[in-house]
Amino acid sequence: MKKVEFRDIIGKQSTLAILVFLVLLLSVTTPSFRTVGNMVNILKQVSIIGIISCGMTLVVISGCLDLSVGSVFSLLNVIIISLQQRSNMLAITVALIVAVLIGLFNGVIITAFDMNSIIVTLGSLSLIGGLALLYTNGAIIHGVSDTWFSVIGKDRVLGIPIHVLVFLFVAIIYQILLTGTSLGKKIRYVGVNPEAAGIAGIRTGKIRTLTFIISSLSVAVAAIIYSSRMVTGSPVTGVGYEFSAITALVVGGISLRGGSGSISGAIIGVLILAVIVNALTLYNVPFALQNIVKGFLIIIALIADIRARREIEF
Amino acid sequence: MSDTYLLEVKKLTKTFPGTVALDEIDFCLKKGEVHAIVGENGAGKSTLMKILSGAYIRDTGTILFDGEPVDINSVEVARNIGVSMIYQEIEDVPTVTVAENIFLGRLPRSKIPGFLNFKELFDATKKILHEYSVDINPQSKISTLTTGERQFIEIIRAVVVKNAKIVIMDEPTSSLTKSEVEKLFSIVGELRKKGISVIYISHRLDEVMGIADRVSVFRDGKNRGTLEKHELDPDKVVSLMIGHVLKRVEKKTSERNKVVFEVKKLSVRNRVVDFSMKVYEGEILGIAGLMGSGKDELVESIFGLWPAQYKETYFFGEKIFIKSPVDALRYGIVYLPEERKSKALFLEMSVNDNVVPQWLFYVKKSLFPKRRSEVDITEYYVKRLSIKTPSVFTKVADLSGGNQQKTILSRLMAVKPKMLVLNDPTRGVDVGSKEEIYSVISALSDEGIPLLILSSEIPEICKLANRVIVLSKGRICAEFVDNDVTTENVIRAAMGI
Amino acid sequence: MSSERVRYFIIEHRMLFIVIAVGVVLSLVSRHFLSVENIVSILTNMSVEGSMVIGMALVVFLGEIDLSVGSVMALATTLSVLFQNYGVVIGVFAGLLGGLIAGLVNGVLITKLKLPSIAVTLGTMILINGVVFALTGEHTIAGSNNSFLLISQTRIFNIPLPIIFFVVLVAVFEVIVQKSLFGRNVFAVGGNATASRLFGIKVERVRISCFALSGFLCGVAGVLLAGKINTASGNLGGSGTLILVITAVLLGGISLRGGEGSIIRAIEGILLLVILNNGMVLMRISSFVQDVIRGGILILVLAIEAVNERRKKYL
Repeated sequence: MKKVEFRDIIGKQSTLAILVFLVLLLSVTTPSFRTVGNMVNILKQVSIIGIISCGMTLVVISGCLDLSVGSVFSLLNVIIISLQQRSNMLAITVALIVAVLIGLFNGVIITAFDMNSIIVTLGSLSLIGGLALLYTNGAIIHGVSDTWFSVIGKDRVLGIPIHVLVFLFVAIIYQILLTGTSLGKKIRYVGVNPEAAGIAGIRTGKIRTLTFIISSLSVAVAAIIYSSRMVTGSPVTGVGYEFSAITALVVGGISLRGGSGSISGAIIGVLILAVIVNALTLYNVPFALQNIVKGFLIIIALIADIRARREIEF
Repeated sequence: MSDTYLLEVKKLTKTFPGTVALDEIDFCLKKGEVHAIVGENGAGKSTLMKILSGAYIRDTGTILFDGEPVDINSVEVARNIGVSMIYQEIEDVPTVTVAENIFLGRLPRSKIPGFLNFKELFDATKKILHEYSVDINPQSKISTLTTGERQFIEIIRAVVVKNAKIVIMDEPTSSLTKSEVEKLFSIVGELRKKGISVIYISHRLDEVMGIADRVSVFRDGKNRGTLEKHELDPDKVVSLMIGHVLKRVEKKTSERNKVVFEVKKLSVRNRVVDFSMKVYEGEILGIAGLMGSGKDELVESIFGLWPAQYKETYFFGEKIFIKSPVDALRYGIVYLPEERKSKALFLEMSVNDNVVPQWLFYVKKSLFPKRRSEVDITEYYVKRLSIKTPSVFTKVADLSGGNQQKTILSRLMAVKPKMLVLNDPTRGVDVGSKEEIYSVISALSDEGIPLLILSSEIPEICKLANRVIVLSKGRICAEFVDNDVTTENVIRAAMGI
Repeated sequence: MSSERVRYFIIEHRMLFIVIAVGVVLSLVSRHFLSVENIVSILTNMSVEGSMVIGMALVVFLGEIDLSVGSVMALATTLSVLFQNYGVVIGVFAGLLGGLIAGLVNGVLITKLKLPSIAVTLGTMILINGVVFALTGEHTIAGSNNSFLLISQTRIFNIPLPIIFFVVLVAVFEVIVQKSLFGRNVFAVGGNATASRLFGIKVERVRISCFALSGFLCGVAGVLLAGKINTASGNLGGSGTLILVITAVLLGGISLRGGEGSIIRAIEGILLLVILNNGMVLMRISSFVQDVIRGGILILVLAIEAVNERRKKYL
């Protein structure tokens, strides 16, 4: 029994330790790592996946998985860019509304029929991905630059890029939500034991649906940032994002079974991944191998997680 | 006389933390006899059977098989000796055929390597089924059979495949129809003819009297007496089961004038038939039901956890609709499920986290609950219920069963409920915690809060309740009030005497 | 044939009747549908995707799932393309071996480390996809040995080789599943692993074998695909393939809980999906709409199965 508690405390610390170790190691061995430009590069990638991962964290803690986030990202990206030509506000509003609808769709179907969220969101992945492709007919579309919209993606406040601030803001809000509000607590109860949660009077279906909506909204925020920065929309931008997010969560020590995890864990996972990817790029390791690394990381993290969990059950 | 006994148990003791399950118990079984064991819950019947079948290991004592001492320390050893236990939870493969289940792991091979001889399989199965006069198609899938039929298959499998010499049946008739019970008896008769001994555990004295050659009565971990068939007298059996009269707890007889909760004509498919009940203010109503009585489905359907075909619910006279525990909680009706590990506890979370959920969401209702107030509530109940835990932040999985149960009870009490429904509240709870829970129950009752307690432990129900409804096969078969609430009365009613 | 048996047959193979119905409709809608070349195209596609379906069905009978099927197929295709310089046989062998090894890795991770199959195969799906990207250097690579295309082009009695091979494959596996000791063990383990273990069935061995077979069959699919297009890229075997395979199994009325089913029913499922695909192409429905429809069908079929499960529970 002691082992479990130990690991629980160590758990979060160990992932942070890994991150610190990696950063130090690379700073010492690789001069190009230490440059400001490189740091900015890392941050650029981190904020988008980071925001998506924060949303995914809530879904995972409640005991489900949302594999549709990549497709949703693509769809929202093209919707935003296409509408941006008419009005920036319209683009943002519509994106948010569509995100809520998608989250609602996912959540209601999964909870009303008590279905496996992995396979259902796999279906949504295909469905929504197809919608994105249909929307632009497979083409890449361009938006209007030099409007206030680009500010979000490109500008800085006090030297810090706005998108990083948004990411931090989202992370803090979600962490407060998770630990300080009753919604956050309910999410955790649902993840630990959905049946007991139901008997204790928690509306499991409603809570899970809410997490799916929050996840989609997070994707919307990420899509807004991305669209603002790139000013282009492609119906396949988000391909693979769902797996990156899951990898980040798993690496960050969040159990895919649900019931445990924190936003800080997700952030650390995202950072570790970003640092590793960055290092591989600096060493000219082909992009292809990066997926291999990601796959390995998932499996290793899974093994570590299951081992720790089993001690609780037996 | 030893050499005529197939199995002898001498001075066997088995203890668990907090309880003595078997207390230097003696038991003997003849070859080819049907030996029934009766006794209350906790008397030690299941524990002894688990030891004989290798699931538990005895602490001290001897077991002799055919005169030779044996050390049954594993399921394999028990099986090699020839002991086979038929559990209530049947371990069969529902998706494949009867024949494949009977010959699980021993399917007849054909001449082509790796392939099976299906003709031989089905013929052999048909032959065996015919021997026992069981009219089931060997090619049917198990999932299409009734519970009773599945039990027959299980018994046949035990005898055929495992070469059982002793077959132990634990409450075999609880889910059977009347005709299936008769069929079961004829199968047992077949076993007896073949020289196979049967240990038959049951609460139903009428059945026991019909089939047993000898009956042993267990109480508090000891064998209180073995009666021959011609000696069987219900009164004698019941008196052996109860022993001396239980300490009469001074229960206040409740006035019974204000109806707090009422359910009418509740029907649950295949489990509960036309059930109606009133719960009065200030009373403790007990529902006594043995396995298979439908009590779990009954209470779960009241709470919307199990679909009911028909249900009318009234609270303080007004018609209400409970579609889920959320609705019930809003009215102030709380539920303690019988399987706390899977249905009530959040094992990986702390004691504090396990006490506060209902209170947080139904009483405090704030968007940003403060940690301090949560801890205050938990500490209050830890003290009040004497929950033994190093701190309120200890993982609840580390607590003993009794303390876990008290944690859940705290959760229920924290919302200041208007009615409590407790399902088997002292299951898996040590004696000390049991008493503490009993005193909490009477304290709540003193405040006028009605409690509905369901249990299969009859002495406990009789100790606590001032009114008892006896449930059998989904129907009310008896009701006892005030001074008529005695273990004897209830046991008789439950056993069908 | 008694009316009872006829009724049983119709219910068991209801997909087949739906396939026929859809086929009739499509032949009316488009005159190309019943043309020889179209049917050949349908059946050849079937041989690729169907092989994966056989493997997935095996794993599902066990009560597990294999999310890596698409990636493993892509791996096999890539290996075949890369190794065909040494000869067609070597190319085929490389693809099959790659699939088998991938399957074994899945099986070992799941059984020895007692990890849930859904999580492990999620990991291997990503990993193997990465391997494919690495091997193809992020481009689409083409095979240099044109003889490799003979795999799809050879005809026996004017029927393309892959189709014959596939039919044989289906027959062989259906027999194994229904009549062999291994097959019945798979159902036993899927229906109740605890009981099976109690009665001496080597559960771990059965599990590893099923995942290995699934990997091998994905290898077969990959080799057949290479035999048709003789190119490979990291974009092969994506989520679209996975959805197709899972939907096929579900359409075949096979429960994800395991313990029951038949290969033929799963094949009926994939046949329906392939015909629908073909129909959509013939009707010039864009591939994007096809994605939408495919996703929608999966969700719909899942919902139906979920409702069925719930009804059974409260019986």
